[in-house]
Amino acid sequence: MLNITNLKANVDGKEILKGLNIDVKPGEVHAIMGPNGSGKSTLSNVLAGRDKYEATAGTITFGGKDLLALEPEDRAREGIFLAFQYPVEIPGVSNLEFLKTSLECLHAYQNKPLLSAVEFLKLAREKCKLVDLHTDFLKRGVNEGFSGGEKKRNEIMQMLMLEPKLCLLDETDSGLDIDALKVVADGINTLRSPDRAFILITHYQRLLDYVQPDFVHVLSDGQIVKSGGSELALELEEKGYSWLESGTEQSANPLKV
Amino acid sequence: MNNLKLVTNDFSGAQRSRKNPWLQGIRDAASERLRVLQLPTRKTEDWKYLKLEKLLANDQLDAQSMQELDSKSVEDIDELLAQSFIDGLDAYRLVFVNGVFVSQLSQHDSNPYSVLFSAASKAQQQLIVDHLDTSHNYYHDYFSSLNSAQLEDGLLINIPKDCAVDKPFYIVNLTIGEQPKTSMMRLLVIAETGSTATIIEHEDAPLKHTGMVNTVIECFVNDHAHITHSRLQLDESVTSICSHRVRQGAHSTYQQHQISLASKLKRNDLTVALRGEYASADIRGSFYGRHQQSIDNHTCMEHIVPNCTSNEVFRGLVDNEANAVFNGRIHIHPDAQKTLAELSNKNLLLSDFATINTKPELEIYADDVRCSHGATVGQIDNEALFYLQSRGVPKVEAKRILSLAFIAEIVNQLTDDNVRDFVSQRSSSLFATLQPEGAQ
Ligand SMILES: Nc1ncnc2c1ncn2[C@@H]1O[C@H](COP(=O)(O)OP(=O)(O)O)[C@@H](O)[C@H]1O
Ligand SMILES: [Mg+2]
Repeated sequence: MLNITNLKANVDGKEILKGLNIDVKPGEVHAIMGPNGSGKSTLSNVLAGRDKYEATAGTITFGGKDLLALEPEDRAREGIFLAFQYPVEIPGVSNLEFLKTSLECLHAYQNKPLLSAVEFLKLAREKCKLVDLHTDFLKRGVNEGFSGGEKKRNEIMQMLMLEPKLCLLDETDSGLDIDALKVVADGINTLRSPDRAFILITHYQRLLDYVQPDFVHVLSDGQIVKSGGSELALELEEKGYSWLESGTEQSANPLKV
Repeated sequence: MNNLKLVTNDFSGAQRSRKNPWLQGIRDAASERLRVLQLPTRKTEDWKYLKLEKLLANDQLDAQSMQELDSKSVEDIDELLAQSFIDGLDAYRLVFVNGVFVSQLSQHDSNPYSVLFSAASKAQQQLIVDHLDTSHNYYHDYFSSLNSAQLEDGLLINIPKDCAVDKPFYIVNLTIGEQPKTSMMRLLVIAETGSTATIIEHEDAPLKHTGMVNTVIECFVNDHAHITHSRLQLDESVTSICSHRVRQGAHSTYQQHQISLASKLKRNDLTVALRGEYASADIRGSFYGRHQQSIDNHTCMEHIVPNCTSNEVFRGLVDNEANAVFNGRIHIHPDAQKTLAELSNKNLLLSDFATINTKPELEIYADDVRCSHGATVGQIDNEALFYLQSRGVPKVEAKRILSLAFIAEIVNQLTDDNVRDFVSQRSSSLFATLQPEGAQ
């Protein structure tokens, strides 16, 4: 489904990703862990196609297509969804309007029938309930004045609405209390299916207690320095990242968790 | 409809004898002022951002004769008119075409409150003469004087004491005709003590015909009177210069929502004089310019007596090579203690070639006042743009959504649902034509 080969990427001219390889198959859940500044968000931004995040070498294919050649909106329409680490507030555009436009854009591209206004509203309300957001949130500006936790739940709500093929979650679990964390985990588990894949970027083992990953990768200084099964996450939880330091010749400084 | 005859005001020469001799005093006084006043140039401070001489070159400032539309255009108009009026609005509808009242298009049965100057009774004539051009005795500009010097007709809305008018006045002025023409609009609102009314003005050019409109509006909002006034300037093809003066008495409120599309030249001067204590003025506006259009907004809040409030919020959206000006003046006179005056103007530049000049101007001569003002010029938020794109929304559409969102704060405050829906719908279809190559 997603294949990343030897990916190098610059942000503002500075090399952040330094030859990264990942292969994600349908149905799999991958967790990417790593210290602050290791390039986790850079990876998610490169995948989503944000300006200024420039791939300088390597390839990314998604469903057989050259992902790097696609505009961000076309990546979304092909089925990539990024739950942002810092969701942006858009005053003046209601959540409902936003979701409706988004869903229409995706469905039109995917040749799916458009929902009627009533069907859409029903669906939106349902999904709100699933992530424990009051339906009043639908009328408010996108993320406008939402608390940190509400923003994250709103990302999951969008993910549930849009039913992407590949869900990328960038530290969606950070800063959540245990109830919100469960909501996020439930959202992910609801969507798990043989033809859908997940990449969970996270700092902590916590989320992985609720969502069992098939693979865990450790990202350090722009490279995957270790990959393993779910047991690797537990090991990291116990020992931190510093024991991996020796494995990366680039990092001169001690890594912080 | 078939005998619809469009008459445009003829103001070709002072020698011509004009209708309604009882207005002669008004005309003479204005002609006198015009001897001294000159057509503004770029050297005139208030007009410095506009190349006025150039803009007016095609739009003559005088001499229009009777125009009769052929039957083809009448049919066109019939069809278009059906769409040009605000749907579902229950109102006293007063329709003008090129500044001339057209009763066939109007719906104002049982409307005892408004009358054309030309149909005014003796008492109403007196009322008109007593009020016209007195709203601000210290401020007369070239264009409003021109309007007065050539004045033959106009609309008086007079709300009796303590009367709450049952439905809004919906005043439409359409510019129609292949030949560019100049028309004059004159509106005089006198809200007597304790009265309440809503006025909706709507300027449009359903066939996108060009022309020029010179408008003068004077509103006398007496003690304890409440006026809500929406001004929709949706005629992109029409050059328009509007001088709008409001004079408020004690405990009165005046609320205005202005939605303006720019044109080759659109100039709005709004002066509110707060002359009675505890009067409050609430002015909301949004303007949008694109292509090579210009729009120039000048507002002035004259705080003359203590304890009054003024609040102004304007949002501007400027695309392509358009040029916009916002000049918000707050003048707090020495007696006007305990004034509360707020002014905010936020602007969004949608292109690297668009320009906006925004300038708050404060003149404060009283010491116990609260006055705040702020002006910003920004660009579309790239983060928001990317967020929308990452959800599958194409960039052009995302830009459209964010532009509309920017002025939504103003549009959403239109109090009448029908008016708000009409404006939202018009603006979203307008923005549908945003060019994909718009600069970031
Ligand atoms: N927009 C940006 N401009 C400049 N530097 C950036 C930008 N985004 C990320 N970086 C830098 O790239 C490195 C990796 O950051 P990031 O991908 O956000 O790490 P992580 O998500 O793993 O904490 C950091 O050194 C960070 O400072
Ligand atoms: Mg990050």
